[in-house]
Amino acid sequence: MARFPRPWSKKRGKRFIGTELRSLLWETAFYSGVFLVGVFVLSLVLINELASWEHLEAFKELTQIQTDAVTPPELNGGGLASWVFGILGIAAIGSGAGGLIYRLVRVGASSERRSALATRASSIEIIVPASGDIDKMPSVPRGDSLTDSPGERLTYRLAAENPGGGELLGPMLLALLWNAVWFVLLAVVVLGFWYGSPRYILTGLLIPFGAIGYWSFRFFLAQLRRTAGIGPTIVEISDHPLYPGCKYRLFVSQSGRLRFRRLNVRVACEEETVYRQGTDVRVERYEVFTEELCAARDVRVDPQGPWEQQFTLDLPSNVMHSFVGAHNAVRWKVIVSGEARPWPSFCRSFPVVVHPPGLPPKRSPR
Amino acid sequence: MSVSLCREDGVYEGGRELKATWRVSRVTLDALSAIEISVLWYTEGKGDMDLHVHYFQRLEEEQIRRSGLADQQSLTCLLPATPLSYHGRLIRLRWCVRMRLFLNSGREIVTDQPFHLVAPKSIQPGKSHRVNAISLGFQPPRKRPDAGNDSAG
Repeated sequence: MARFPRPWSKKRGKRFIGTELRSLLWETAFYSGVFLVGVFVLSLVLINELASWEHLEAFKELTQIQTDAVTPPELNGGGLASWVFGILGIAAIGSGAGGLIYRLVRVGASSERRSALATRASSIEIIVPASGDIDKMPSVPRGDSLTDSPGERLTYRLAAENPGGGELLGPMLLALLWNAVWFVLLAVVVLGFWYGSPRYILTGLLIPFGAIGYWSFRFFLAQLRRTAGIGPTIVEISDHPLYPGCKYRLFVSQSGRLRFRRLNVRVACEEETVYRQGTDVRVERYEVFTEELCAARDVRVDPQGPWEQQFTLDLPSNVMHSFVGAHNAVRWKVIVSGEARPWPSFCRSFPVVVHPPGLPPKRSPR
Repeated sequence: MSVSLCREDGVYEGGRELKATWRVSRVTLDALSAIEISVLWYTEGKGDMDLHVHYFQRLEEEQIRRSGLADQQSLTCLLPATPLSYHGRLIRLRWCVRMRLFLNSGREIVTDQPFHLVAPKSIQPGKSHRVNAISLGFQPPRKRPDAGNDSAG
């Protein structure tokens, strides 16, 4: 029995079902279609809008275009409808042209050639000359921002990966926006009753909406309590970047008003990969190396007496340096984690950069 | 086609020079449309592949006719200090000299000659490199079979 040719191809991991050529042809046809539909819609909008211009009367007479006849009724609404269709048309033109260019650039060029062209393009000095350090250690993060604040006890104070404010921003926005909308709806309902035209469906909806608003505000307060209660964590280091086989001093301070059941400080090397699974983008992490510096129990912290400890970090000589690619990375970090009552457990990371051994250390004036 | 490196153990220090020779045999001049030689690193493992070309040379049909296929060709490039070869749990970072032949029929033939990039000053002079180089789980170089990979329809 003859099989009907499938117009699509599916990518499963690194292999295709169907030929790559077929997928190329259909993708090209799809993006061309999107582009042409965009041109068509934008043309309709422009013709409709420009038809009202007086100085185009001569053009209308010449071409004998009857704009009322060729324009769909949706566009005759003028103002808002024209804007919406115009924007949709421009978006379709942009995405169609972009997709078409992106797909066609990949035809006939090997992955090595594309990478070489990209490297050459990125090395062109446009405004300022490229820094020599980047060329010396490609794919190793520079980590300049990690050491831009001096420490009190040791040379550098490390910056946290997720500063405290970020944890509060999302819950705060959710709580404020949701409850603001709820109060607007409440005003509409009250006015409806006041003027004798009650809105019963909206009144009924206020109850579940109010419950969501209450939950979001409670969640925001819990996050605020957690952030304010646990207090800031300070990590300082004697030198940066780090080199395998060298020793460093590390200072950790934890403030707040609470009692920790458990408080851990460790240095970890984590592999991070980003991959596509179907239409999802997934991130996987795995700790390939960890060195525990401290595992304290029953630690009491109060505003007058923060928990402070100094450690010696002995980095082994056979570890991988920090590496960042487009989809893969090897990251080093100092991790402070703890468990306290009544607060939930917390984990704060402070990234550091490890350079490969054998290179002259980068000296800082500090 | 074959690619051979100047060091037998295939281990190079970052920042040092790499010399390699390559040769194409059993393919006629008329069948070739282009040859690409590149020194590159790529990642393997669970994540999507990252690839970066450090050295790239493309010979078009005209240049191939001029130089001919009978003689061995050579390439020399200065290797960067990083990224070093690495064999981890989720990520493997490999360096190789890659040769890609474009045939007039539309087929492509690829061969890789892997090598290891290790930290500067980690190779002792006069000794071949041992397995205690940088990386968590260092593996000796593996040569990929010189097989044709059809990637064009």
